[in-house]
Amino acid sequence: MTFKDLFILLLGPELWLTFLGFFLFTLDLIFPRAPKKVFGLLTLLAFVGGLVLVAAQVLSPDLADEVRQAAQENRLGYWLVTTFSLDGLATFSKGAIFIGAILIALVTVDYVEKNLREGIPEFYGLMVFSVLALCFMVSSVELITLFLAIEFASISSYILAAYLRGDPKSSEAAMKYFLVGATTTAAGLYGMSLIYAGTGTTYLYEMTAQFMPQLGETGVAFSPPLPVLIGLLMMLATLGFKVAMVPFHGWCPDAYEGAPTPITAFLSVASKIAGMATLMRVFASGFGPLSAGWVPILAFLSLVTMTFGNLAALWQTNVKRLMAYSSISQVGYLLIGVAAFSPSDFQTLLGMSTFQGSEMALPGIFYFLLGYAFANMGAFAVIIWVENWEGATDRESFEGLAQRSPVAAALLTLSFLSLIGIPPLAGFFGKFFLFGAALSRGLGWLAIAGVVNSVISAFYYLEVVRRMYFFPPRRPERVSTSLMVSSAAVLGVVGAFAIGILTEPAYQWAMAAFFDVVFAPNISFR
Amino acid sequence: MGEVIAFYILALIIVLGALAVVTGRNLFHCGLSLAAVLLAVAGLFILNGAEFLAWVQVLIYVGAVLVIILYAIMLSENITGERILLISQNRGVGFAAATLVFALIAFLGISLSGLLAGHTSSVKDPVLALLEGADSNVIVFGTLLLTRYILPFEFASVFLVIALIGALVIARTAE
Amino acid sequence: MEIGLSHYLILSGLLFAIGIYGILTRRNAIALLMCVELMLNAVNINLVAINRFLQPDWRIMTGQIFAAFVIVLAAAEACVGFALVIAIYRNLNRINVDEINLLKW
Repeated sequence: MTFKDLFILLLGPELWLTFLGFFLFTLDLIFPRAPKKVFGLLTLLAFVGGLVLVAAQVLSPDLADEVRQAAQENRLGYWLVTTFSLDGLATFSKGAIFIGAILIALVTVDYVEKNLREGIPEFYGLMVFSVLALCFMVSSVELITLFLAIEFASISSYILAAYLRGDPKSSEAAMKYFLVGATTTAAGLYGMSLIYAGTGTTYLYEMTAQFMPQLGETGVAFSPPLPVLIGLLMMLATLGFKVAMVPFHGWCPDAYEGAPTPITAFLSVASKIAGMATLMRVFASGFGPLSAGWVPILAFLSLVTMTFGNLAALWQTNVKRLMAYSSISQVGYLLIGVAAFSPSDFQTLLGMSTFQGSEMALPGIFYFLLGYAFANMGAFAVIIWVENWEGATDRESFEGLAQRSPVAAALLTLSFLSLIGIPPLAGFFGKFFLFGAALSRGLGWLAIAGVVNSVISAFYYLEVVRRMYFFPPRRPERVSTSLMVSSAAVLGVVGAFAIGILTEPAYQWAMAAFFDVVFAPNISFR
Repeated sequence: MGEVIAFYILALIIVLGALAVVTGRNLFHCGLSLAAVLLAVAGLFILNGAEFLAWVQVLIYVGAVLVIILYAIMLSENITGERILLISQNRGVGFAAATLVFALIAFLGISLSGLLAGHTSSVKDPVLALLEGADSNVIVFGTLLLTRYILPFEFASVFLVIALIGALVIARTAE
Repeated sequence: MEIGLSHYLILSGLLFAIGIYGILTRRNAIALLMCVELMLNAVNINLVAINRFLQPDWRIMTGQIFAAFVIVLAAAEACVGFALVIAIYRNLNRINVDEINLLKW
């Protein structure tokens, strides 16, 4: 296989997105009078095509062998493959990102027609490119590419968050987002330079290979060398910023409230999936042998994040802002899964020992992320549904929604129930797996904190539900919406249900995705 | 000896310039101090044998980034019609945090323990085969960029285009 | 006396710490952007020095390549930051971060 073939094979979805993104930019120049809806549909096509291409990569049986062989006979190919990985972690997260992006594209079209007057083709193009950046984020296993991808994703998010030009809130939110992002990036880069000092390489799995001998047969974690540990913690600033982990969450409520609502959904779903996957890639997969150094810190941050998110959400009156704090607390639950990691998982990951117990947390994180993405998209679709009609997202706009649009109220309620974690919705089983993993790893206190937090979270979610069902509507007329928005809401809720009811197959799928490594990450270095 | 003197002069410029950037009251003067810092950093690059990077630093950082910043300062002063005077808040907190960070990094720098962990690899890096006979910094830099780092290189080009388009979209005036 | 990696690490640490001080004390968006540039330069000093002192073969210049990409990032960040400053000006006519409080900090 030539380098070109390998390039196309490995980066199929990314090349497709790049092509369509630039096509969207130029289309407006060629046909200035093209109806704006066309751009939305093309964006949808970009994401659906991306999902299909990812599925093709996963399903093609001999891709792994072909890639491995090409990497051996072609020097350029070797560097490509050690930079850009196509393992289970990458393909599963890409699939989840594309599913989220499809739902987001569905809710965007109406919103854009209502709220944006100019720059519409660029809006869609930037959305496509930020999904491209997220794909690179979850796939890159080399620090330079990784930080470029993270920055690409952040910068396109700043721009998209500032897109409501008449609204001062929007540009202000983007400014705060930008300043926090630039600072944490600088800190993360300093951390990367320390890691480079400690290991002499920028290839993530080459570092892992250096630490593996010290891990030894016993599978007991050892304390990392100090520069690497400090560097890793500084990198946590960047990754924590991407997923809105406390104490790097400062931008989150403002950006969520100020940004155009589809972008809020994008930040809370697609961006968060990519951020969590990258966090897992760096900590659990790349620096797994050093887990003795970072597990206690992540466990503590997990506790702080979910407690802060839930307590702050109790006082919110704007539903978009409430969703911001809710998504912070969901990150706290997800971090439980990362904290419940142990080096024996790592050996399983690299195929060194066979999978034994069900206590492994990482597939649980995937399962939770998928459920979270569906439920959150359901909720955001209904929020946009209401916002397009009312022009606001404060709690009062949702009062009496049950009479004005019973379907919307029911869908929002179901999404919220999944986010609280009520069976048989996906959120329940996600939490079940994560808390179970924490228990079996001796982090009982964290599991208890998770349960207590879930109870607290019920208060603010159900407060919105109470207002929808038991308060008189402010205005009598029905709230209707287009087919696209309602179908996105339905798809989100159906997804949350399906993953919840088909727990066993879905979990097996997450597990298989995790183990069916298309390209073994530990390709023998040199 | 020459290197020692050069290092200390450049280090002095960097530290004093940086302090001027974070404590000055006139934004424009802060920008000029930043220029001094950036040029001194380019000097450090030359000391470390990174000639190409030093020129990149001068051309892109001093030539482009700094000009953008100075432009932003003048434009904003022009729009508001008043000179921006900078204030500093929370000096105590800032000082404490900065001291802590510096102490940590200085400790790393002095002890240097474990810093040499990964550099003992005896296997020959395959990229060396491409660099046979390359004798100048620029040739090696370009060869590496277009072979081993081809993916980040291409990705960075898309990144820059998007950053430019995005900046244009938010900065342009309403029609 | 010779200049070793320790000297460079301490210098970059100092520059980084000054940048952090600026981030915590300044309130003006452009001034904050300049502090970020200071921090990025600390990173670059680090990368180049580490490359020189810890890599036995000068032709493997990973650190220098990394530093070049950091400069790319700085350029992109400066241009987007500048655009955001202009956008904020247009909407609010003010630039100090704590004067902007439509949304709570």
